[in-house]
Amino acid sequence: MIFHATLSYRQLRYLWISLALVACAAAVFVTQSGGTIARGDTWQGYTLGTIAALLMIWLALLGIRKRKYASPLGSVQGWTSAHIYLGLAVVAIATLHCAGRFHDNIHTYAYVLMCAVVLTGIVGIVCYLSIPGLLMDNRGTRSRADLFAELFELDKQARNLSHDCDAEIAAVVQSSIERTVVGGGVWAQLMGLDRSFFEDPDRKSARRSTGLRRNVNQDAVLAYVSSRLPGAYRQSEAAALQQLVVTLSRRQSVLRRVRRDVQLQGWLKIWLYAHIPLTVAALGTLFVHILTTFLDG
Amino acid sequence: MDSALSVDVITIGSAAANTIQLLGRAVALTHATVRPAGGGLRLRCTRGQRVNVNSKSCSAARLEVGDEIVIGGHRLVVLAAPAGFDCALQLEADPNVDSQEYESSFRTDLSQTRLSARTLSWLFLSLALVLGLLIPIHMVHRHRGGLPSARGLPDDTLWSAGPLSPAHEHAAGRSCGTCHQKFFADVKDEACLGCHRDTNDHVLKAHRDLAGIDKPQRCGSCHHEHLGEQFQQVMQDDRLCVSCHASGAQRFAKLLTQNVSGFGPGGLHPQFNVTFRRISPGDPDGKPFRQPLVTALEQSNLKFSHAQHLNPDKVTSRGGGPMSCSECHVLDADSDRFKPMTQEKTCAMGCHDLNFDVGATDRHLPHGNVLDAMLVIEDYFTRKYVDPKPQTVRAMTRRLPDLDRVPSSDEALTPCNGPPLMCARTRAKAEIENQFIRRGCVGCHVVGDTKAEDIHERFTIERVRITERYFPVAKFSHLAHRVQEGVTGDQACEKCHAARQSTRSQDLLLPDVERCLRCHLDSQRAAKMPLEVSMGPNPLTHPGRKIITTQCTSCHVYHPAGVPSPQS
Repeated sequence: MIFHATLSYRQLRYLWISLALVACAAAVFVTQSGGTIARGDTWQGYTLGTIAALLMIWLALLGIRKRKYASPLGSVQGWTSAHIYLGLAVVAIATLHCAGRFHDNIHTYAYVLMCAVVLTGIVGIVCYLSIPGLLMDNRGTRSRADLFAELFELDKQARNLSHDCDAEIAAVVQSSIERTVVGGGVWAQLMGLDRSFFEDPDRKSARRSTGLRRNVNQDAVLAYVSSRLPGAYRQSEAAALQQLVVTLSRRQSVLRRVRRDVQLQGWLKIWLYAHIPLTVAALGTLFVHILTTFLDG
Repeated sequence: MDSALSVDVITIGSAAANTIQLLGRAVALTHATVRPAGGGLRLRCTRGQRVNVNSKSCSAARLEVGDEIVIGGHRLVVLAAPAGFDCALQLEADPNVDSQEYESSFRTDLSQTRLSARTLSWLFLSLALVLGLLIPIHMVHRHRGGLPSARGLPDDTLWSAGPLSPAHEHAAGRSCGTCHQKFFADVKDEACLGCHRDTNDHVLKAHRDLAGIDKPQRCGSCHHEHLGEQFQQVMQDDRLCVSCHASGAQRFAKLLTQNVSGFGPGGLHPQFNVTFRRISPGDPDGKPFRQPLVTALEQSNLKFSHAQHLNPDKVTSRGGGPMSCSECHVLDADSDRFKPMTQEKTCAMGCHDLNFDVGATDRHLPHGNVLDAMLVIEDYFTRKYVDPKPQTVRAMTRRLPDLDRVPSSDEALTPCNGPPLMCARTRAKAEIENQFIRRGCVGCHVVGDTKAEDIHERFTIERVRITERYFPVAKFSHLAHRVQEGVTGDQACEKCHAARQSTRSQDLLLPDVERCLRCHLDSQRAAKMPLEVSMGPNPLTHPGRKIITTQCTSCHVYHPAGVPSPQS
């Protein structure tokens, strides 16, 4: 797996670097024993705070580095590996910086936001470790474009087959294809919601009805077409209906995979929508924290 | 194939929810809308989108029958509406649309939703800056203008680094400006001295000039606030003191300071000096002066032998048995010093009653005034000889300090046969001389003999000067040392005070710095010691004994008490 390679990049190089950094920070911290009370504004506190702040800014730069693929500054994989381990280390260093003094103030808010960023990052690691396997299980080696190409073909086939059936079936199949929905809003993507419809001629005749019927997982349209099978009196029509049911079933299966793919890809990315804004908020609060520290002397 | 629709507005786009779904990369999810307007139709594109109407690119257009609209390769032609319909459109889908463009008709990525990391980032950043910085700064300006904080909004207490010490919390509360008077500036000493008016600086202004010290240390360099209860722990790093005092003898030569570079063996800390007062006729309280402990002698003008008092063969306590230190030396309430000793409360108390005649053991001399004592003796003998009623003779209960067993005046003198008043005077004079020359007062006091004819003016008693504090600027807790090295009581006292060997009142009996070093070291040197110290014959170390770390501030105070503050 690619992400495992990121975590163990160059024999865990950045894990060891991070552990060494935390060990150095701890060594600086313990020199505050004796007559000095450990806190943020001793020279040790300032040293640790400066390291933590610089680390936070550097970690945030990964977002910019990721967009510049032609950068000569090492590989993205190396940066990501460093980002993960140093991101975890920054919590330890910031805790040593403040000597565990937490109160209801901007300084603790900056710390809490930083922890929230790291926490969402950990969620990201878990996602990157678990979801790619599920994605592979769902669509194998095929890409999403392949799935859509297949869906496009099946749509075409279904339309053609429906023209061999009566006009009502043709309208039903046509509408079920047109009203097929994949993805949608955030909630629909993440929960894999299906808001597909089709136009049911039985309902359309009723007064004040749009004639639309829910078609979750294409079950309703399949049931509708299947129900016509026993009533087909011409053999050619029965064969066309039979073929249509097979095609619609294949379409159902492909749609299910597409929807699952959209859902898994959503979960693979959703943590970033918390991670990035929280990073910006943490950097903003860090700025206020540093400024107010010197503002009040 | 015809489709009949009953809608208010026709939406055109690649999303499935549109009235007319057109696939293709050039088609937005919702690209355009068509509404009836004034008998005709009006086409309007969504923001940023354009269509071709009759081969002309536009974002909005009025549609007439026969107009041709092209969106992403798809053709829409406006037809004349059949009866019962408002409009009719003919759609010719672009046959070249392929599966590649199929996905774009759906929102299959989070980036296509309303969720935007960029928008959220800006929102969060703005909130952090506005709530964390701008509003509190505004509140500071309100406070400076005498206005209170606005309710429900954050103020500069948000910037507080931690809880204040209880006393400061009580005094200043949430008014940060009490101490933090300017932005980007340390808390000024003036802010502290606004309340702490009688706190003295470490170096007096006059001494600063002598020693060439420009300005005093900032209060805040040692006193760190926003540490809650821990504020009481003033910064106690020995390096703070040693950084100046290691070369104090050179740097502050005019102040006669000595070099101190720590508390450990090898002369890091100078030998102790004791402070006495130099009494002169014009200055009865005396000026303090210091003397090295090793050569110092007490000049109390008292005669006293600790060795004698602690020898049970010579002196026993009131309850029998040997005397104990605490019978005379009673700890004061501060457990630092001892209660002052007086004749009445310490020496009398059944031991040294000041009676003077075997015939009247209940008659005591008053203590503290020579003439009063003489008059009491005269009065006693006058009454004894003039009063015809015989006195009952009681057993002598008086004890030391009768250095020599001098016969009582009654026994020494031959019976008086003269007039009673003359006899009384003679006897009184003899007793007064006894008291001041042979026994009685002279037993404890240094007596001056002027040889004057008038007996009342002949004797003086040197003023008693018991030094209450030999180390007036040092802190020491006798209570903390009452149990030490496995012993308590008198044995603990004798660990430091060699009272049994002292036969003179001149002996100071004070431990020297080496005695302290037997148990104490500064933290820097203690850290280098193994936990169980064993360094052989060195007097500061005893095998198997743990070292107790001590700091400069364990014994010394930074702000001297009792001298005028630099402000006054």
